[in-house]
Amino acid sequence: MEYRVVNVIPFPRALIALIPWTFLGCAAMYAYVALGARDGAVAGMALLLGAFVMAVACYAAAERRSEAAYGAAALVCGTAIVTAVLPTTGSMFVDAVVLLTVIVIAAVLFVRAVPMPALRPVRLRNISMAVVLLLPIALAFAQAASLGLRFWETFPLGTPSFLFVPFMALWGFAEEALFRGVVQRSFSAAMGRWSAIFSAAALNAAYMLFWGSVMYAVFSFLAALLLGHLYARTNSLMYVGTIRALTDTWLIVAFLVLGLAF
Amino acid sequence: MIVRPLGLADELLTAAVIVMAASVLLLLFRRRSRSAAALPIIIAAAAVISASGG
Repeated sequence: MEYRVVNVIPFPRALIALIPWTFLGCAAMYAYVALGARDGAVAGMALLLGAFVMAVACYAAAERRSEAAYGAAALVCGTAIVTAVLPTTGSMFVDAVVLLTVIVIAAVLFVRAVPMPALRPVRLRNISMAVVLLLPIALAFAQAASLGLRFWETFPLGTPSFLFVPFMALWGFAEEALFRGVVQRSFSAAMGRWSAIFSAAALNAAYMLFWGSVMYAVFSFLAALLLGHLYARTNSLMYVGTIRALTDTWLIVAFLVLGLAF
Repeated sequence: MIVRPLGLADELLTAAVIVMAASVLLLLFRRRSRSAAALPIIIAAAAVISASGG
């Protein structure tokens, strides 16, 4: 379901509260992950559940042009809540596959159920191919430097982690599908172009706080601004998704080159 | 990039399931709720409870 955006409405007031609310919830989760503060998990869950309920209620009451934006905010809150409470199987690899499956199903159901603003097709230029091939290398090194050794705390150096690289590419694409293809696209009907890019990037960075690294959240925010700008110019999820997938593929090489692998 | 599931299921799963299920119910009754005055109350209650918990 798609509809044409005739004129963009001003930034919905409720979103001005919902985005920082979600960010605070994720920041509290960061306190739990990085500092082991048990209260952080409870506070984070309270804030995220509150933001989720408010976003759903706003979605139920919103007019057509802003309902997708509220729905997208609820989707991000829901994703964060599921990430927090998903029971673990004992294997990080299996957990990651289950989590990705849940997120992809939620995003697909969202796009099918909620009317989305139509995108104008844009013809890509030849230079776009160079961007797809070269930008991921630079992003991967920045990502590896910001993530540091935290990656190997979760996925120990060895064959299983290396075999996981194709899945990481899939995850990278899914992340773009969620934050650019759903969130930014939904926001773009309810606010200006840069407001949509900035808001989607803020939610993207907030979710990445679940890694327990502020540096990585900062990287995610800056990368999201860049990829959001590319998405707004190209209107192509395939384009930014491929860049992100290649970035996550190059990441392992960047770790090894930077000497950040054990 | 892959975010780690936190595995907080034992402690907080019940609360999360109840709240999310209630929200889905709210969506199912969306047409009625659109005209009802209950939504601002729901939003206000969620804000107060969430802020006090946070």
